[in-house]
Parts: sequence; C-alpha cells; structure tokens
Amino acid sequence: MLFRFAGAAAVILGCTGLGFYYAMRDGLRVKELLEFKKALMILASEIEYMRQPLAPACGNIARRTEGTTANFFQNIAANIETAETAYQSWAAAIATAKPTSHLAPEDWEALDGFGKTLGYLDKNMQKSAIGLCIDYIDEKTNQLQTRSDKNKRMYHSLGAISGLIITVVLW
Amino acid sequence: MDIGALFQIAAVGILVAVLNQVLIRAGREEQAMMISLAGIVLVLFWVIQYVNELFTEVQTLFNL
Repeated sequence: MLFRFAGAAAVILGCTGLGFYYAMRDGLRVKELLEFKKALMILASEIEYMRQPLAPACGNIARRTEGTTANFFQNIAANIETAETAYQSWAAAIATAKPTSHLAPEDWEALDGFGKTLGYLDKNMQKSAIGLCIDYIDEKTNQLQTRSDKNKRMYHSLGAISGLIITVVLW
Repeated sequence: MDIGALFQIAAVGILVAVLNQVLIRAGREEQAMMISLAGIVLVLFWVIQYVNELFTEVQTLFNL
C-alpha cells in the first residue's frame, strides 16, 4: 500500500511538474529572444559609434549579455579569426548553441539569415539587417507573450489533472 | 461488483469534466472533445465486462 501511495504521489508530482515546465517554456524563449535583441542592439551601437571589428565587438557583447546569448557571442569571438568568413563562425556558433537553448527552429532561421549578412555589407546596410532581425524578435515576443498568458493556466491545470487521471486509472 | 470500480468511474468522470472545461476556456474545443471521447472509451472498457456479466445472467435466468 505504501508503494502504491508513493507511486501515485510520484505520478501526480511528475505530471504537475511537466505542466509547469510547458507553461514556463514560452517564457524562457521570450527571455532568450530579448537577450538576443539586447545583443543585436549592442552590436548596432558597436558598429555605429565604436567602429569595432566583429571579433572585439562580439567579445564585448558576450561580456554584457548572459546565458545562451553570452556563450553564442563568446563562441563567435573565439572562432571568427580562424574562420574563412564571418558567417562560418556565426553558423558554427548556432550549431553549438542550438541543443542547450529554448529558441525554436524559426528563431534560429531568422538569426541564421542575419548571420549571412555579416561582414560584407556597408555600415548602413548592416544596420538595416540588424533592424530587420530586431523587428522579427519584437513581433515574435509580442506573439509569445500573448500566447503564454493565455496558455499558462491551462498547462498548470492540465498537468495536475492528467496526473490525477493516470493515478485513478492505474489504482 | 466491486464498489471501488464505481468510485473510479465517478473520479474519471469528474476529472474529465474539469479537463474539458479547462480546455474549452483556453479555446481548444477540438482537444476538449477528444478528451471527452477518450474518457468515454476508457470507462466503456471498464464497464464492458460487467455488461457482459449482466447479459449472461439474463440469459441463464430466462434459459435463452
């Protein structure tokens, strides 16, 4: 009987935890997107006012951001000198950051698209490419925040209730 | 018939009804309908052996 109760508690807690994780997932994605937006804004100002080359600019960004974004730009700063093109190091950094990040494939596609413009456009074109990427992030974060507010409570209840149903069915 | 089965069916009914409401409030009517259907099928699987017993009982009672 004790094992039965322990199993039931484990199933209910596990399902509730899963529900909370799903509710949190959109929030984590928004947080990472906003961190990338911050990084791109810093990159724009590094290009505009400091006239820094990409390697030190990426190093600065890595110091001023946190989490996946910091590791991503740290990676670029480390590899850009040895890579043939700036995009190569950008793509390599994306491949490294992808498994540990909460961003969706479409977000990585947008960042990859921006990476293709790195290093060969003039200052104004580079700024507009950054602006385009920031616009994408703004639109996505707005969409995600609306969706997250709507779905949060649903995921919480869904997790707990499905745990209870599984427990009742297996009892 | 075990009384526990009745309580189990009642619990599943209540939980499926709550889940249904939660999903409808979140604008997911299709999933809500699927959950209701799954609940009905689950309870039918539990009940089917009792229904079978009932029919056999009736058959033996009336010598059919």
